Amino acid sequence: MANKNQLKPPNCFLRFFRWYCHPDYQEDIEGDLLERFENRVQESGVSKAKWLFIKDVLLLFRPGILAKFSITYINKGMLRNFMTVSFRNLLRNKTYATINVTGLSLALGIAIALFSIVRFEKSFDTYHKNADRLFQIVQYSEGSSGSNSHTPYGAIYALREEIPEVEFAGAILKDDPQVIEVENQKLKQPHTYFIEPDILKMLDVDWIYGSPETSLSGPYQAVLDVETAERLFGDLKKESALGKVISYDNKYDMKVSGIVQKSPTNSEFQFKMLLSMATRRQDPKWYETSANWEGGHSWHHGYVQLKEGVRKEVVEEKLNKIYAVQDQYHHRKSFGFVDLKYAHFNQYNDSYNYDTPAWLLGTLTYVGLFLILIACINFINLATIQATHRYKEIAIRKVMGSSRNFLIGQFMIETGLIVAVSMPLAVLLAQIIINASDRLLTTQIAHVSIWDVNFFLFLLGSGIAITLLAGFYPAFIFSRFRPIRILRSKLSTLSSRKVTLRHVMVISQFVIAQTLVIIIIVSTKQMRHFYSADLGFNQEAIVTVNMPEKGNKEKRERLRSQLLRHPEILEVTFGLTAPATRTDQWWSGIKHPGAPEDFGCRIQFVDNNYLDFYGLELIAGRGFLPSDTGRHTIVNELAVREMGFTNAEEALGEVIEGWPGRLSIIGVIKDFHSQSLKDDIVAHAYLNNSWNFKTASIKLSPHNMQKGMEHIEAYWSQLFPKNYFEFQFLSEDLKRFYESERKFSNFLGLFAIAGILIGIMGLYGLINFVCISKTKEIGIRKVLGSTLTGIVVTLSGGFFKLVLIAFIFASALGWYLMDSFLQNYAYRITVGWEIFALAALISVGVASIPISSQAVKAAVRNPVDALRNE
Amino acid sequence: MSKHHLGEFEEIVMLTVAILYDEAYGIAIIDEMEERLGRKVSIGALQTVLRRLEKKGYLSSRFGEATKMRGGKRKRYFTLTSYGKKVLTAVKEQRVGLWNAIPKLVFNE
Repeated sequence: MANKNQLKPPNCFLRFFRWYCHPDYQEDIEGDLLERFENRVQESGVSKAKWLFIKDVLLLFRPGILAKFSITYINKGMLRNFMTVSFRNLLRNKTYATINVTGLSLALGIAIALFSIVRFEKSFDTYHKNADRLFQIVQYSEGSSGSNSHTPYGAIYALREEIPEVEFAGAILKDDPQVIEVENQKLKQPHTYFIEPDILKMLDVDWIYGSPETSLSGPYQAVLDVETAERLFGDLKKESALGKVISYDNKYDMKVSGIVQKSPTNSEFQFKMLLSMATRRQDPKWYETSANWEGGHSWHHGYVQLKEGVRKEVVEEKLNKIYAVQDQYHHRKSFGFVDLKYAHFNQYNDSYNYDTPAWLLGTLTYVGLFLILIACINFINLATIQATHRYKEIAIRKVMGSSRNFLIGQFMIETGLIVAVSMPLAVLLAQIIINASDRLLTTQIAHVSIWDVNFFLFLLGSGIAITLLAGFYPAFIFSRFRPIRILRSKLSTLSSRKVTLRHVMVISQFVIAQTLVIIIIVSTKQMRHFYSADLGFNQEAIVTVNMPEKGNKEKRERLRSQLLRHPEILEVTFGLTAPATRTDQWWSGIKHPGAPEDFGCRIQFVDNNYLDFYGLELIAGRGFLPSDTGRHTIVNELAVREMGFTNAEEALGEVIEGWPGRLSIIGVIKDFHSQSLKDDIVAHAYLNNSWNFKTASIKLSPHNMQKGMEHIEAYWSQLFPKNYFEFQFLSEDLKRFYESERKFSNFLGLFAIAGILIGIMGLYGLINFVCISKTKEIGIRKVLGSTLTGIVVTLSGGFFKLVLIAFIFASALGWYLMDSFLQNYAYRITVGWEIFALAALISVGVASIPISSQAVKAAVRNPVDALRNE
Repeated sequence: MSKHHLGEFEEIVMLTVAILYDEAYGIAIIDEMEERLGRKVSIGALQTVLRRLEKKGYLSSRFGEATKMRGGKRKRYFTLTSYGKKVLTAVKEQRVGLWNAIPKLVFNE
């Protein structure tokens, strides 16, 4: 029995019950609770009884049982008094009010913008009626963790024809033309797709004229969205575009047979021009046929809609069984489905629009939360400080009979007031950030409105949450003061010796801000590394233009000789692409006795002078000669190593076999970066087959680039009158490898600045307070002969100590985060001490502005003023 | 009828209080309902209804003696008031009236 007495219900819940329960009911209900608890301990054991007790207590929390809280007795007069006093307080302490409002609106503004971006990105392709049954088909290759979104047509055909659980399956190919011709104008047309009608039965598309069957099932049919129809055919009536002819790359004459509404911004599918897939099937050489299960255009995607109630695993398995029979090359890859809603976050998806990595959304959310946290910490800090000035007010209120709840209410109202003032400013800032966001980050949110019911609910909710978060602690502390002690004697002001909650808060604030600074420095440095690293080939003053008729030797040679006539043009060469590109990468599996089974090379087609042109260094053998017949190849060092040779010379004369046929190695070049620096160097094989020269590279004389460009455009347009002239500076193009990194690093910069700013405002408030409360001490010190420096050091030393302690934590955190972040990049900077030194310098430097300015201001004051004032 | 409207749960609670006669306090009522109707009732749900019925004047309550059990807390016993009895009877008569109005055919099938 003695033992049983120790089995008590969870005390905090019992106290919670006593707190909320109406006093009239408390005794007997508590008795009931305890009796039940005792019974249950006997029946089913202590821990279960405790859980059920907690459940009972929570279930009792309902209007019929609750005590009437005194808050409900606040009448209008009292409320008005609260508001008046709150306003007066804000006006009296303008500095604090300004700091709080600025800090909160800055943090909230950024947070609102970030949360809106996250919400927008998460909404991608969720609006389709059958969104939960729509899937993107992906391929998984054995041995590599990645997948890719290219789908051979064989898989799509099998899904549609052989698997009954499939409702629709369709192929779509994004293939933007070099040029389209409409009523004798040459134009570019991005977002052009060849598409099977089934795709449009799956996705929600608003048809204005036509339907999937009538407008896209036959060859040479085209569908435009409203904007494109207007752009191509002027602002005639929309239906007048119907029946008009658009020439695609001077190959197909497409007849407009339907018009659809513009695609929503939050879709991977921005349908500007849709062309029937049947058009491509007219071409006897078209390789995406029902027999193809292997390679193809990487933008040839497959999408599938399953019948209701079908699990995707079932269909995946059936498809893989069919493929197993077809797998003549023993690639042993497998097919899988990704929810269409998640395709936007799939980094292996060759996105039609743009993809957003899932970790980015997580990061943005956390940054938003952290900023709000920093601002709330400021608020709490400043509020507790202010309280020392308000002891008297609080004490008198208490003496006059104000209850604790009243005081809590008043402080909450003051907090709420500041939040209410900050909120509109924050929304304004958020809108500005969102409008600029597509320049700062890869997102399209600038093109949609963020205003809707949910947005307002979110604002309201976060307003209340912040008020509670920031207001609760001060309200709680103030209302606890004992009036007698305050009125009788002056309370000792905040001592700076003890480690108080305030110190912890200042430290954590600066940890967050400084970590952001470290992240910024590291990512800026990594970006600079990307931009300035030696890639192993020339890129200065080189312009690339595409060659529309890639096999046309006569036109190619004419362009070369015409250009070289001018002194502004130094050299011309041709190839599939420049040495490093993001797109148009040709790959082939390579067989060689010494190489592993899955060995493959990136295939580059190059002119005979290509190696010299780009300064690619031969380390063995020779370069291409005009007499080489396409049976010869040059490989890079990595390929040589993969084939098992330690010395480049040994590889000369070796025969390798791949998709281009049997090739003998005549030369080996030094490795260089043909991929972005995020990735490793890959094995390469070079061929001098001229049928696939799609790019002309032209080296300009640095003295008169403008003139050189004019020549290029003139001759090119003469040669290809039906095409659209476009050129790129190679060095600019290479920077585009890192576009998303650059944007993200800019975006982070914004956070870091905001974080530091808010932190500094907090520091300013703190030091300001210390100076005021130590006015007398400073006066006495001065009278006793203390120097200016001495006083400044006394006043500000503590704060620098806090900033330094914070820095230690921030360094550890920053180092850990950055080290794991940089693992993503194959070629990365090392995180050295100089980064931390710079971060420390920045944060101490920035922190010293408010600290020393305030300290000096206090120190130079005339001690007479300070001491006379009593 | 609208004068004496009782919810289903309210009616059951009042009937159980009547059954327990002199012994109707929180846990006893819950146990009784669980036993007779197989119905799980939380203390919260029961107490709200008891207080509401008391406020409406259908029930009255008194404290019992404190014992060593229940952490020394007294029990609150509920009894039907005469008004409560009247309402309960009225409700029963309404039900019986409805039952009697059902044509014999319906249940003979």
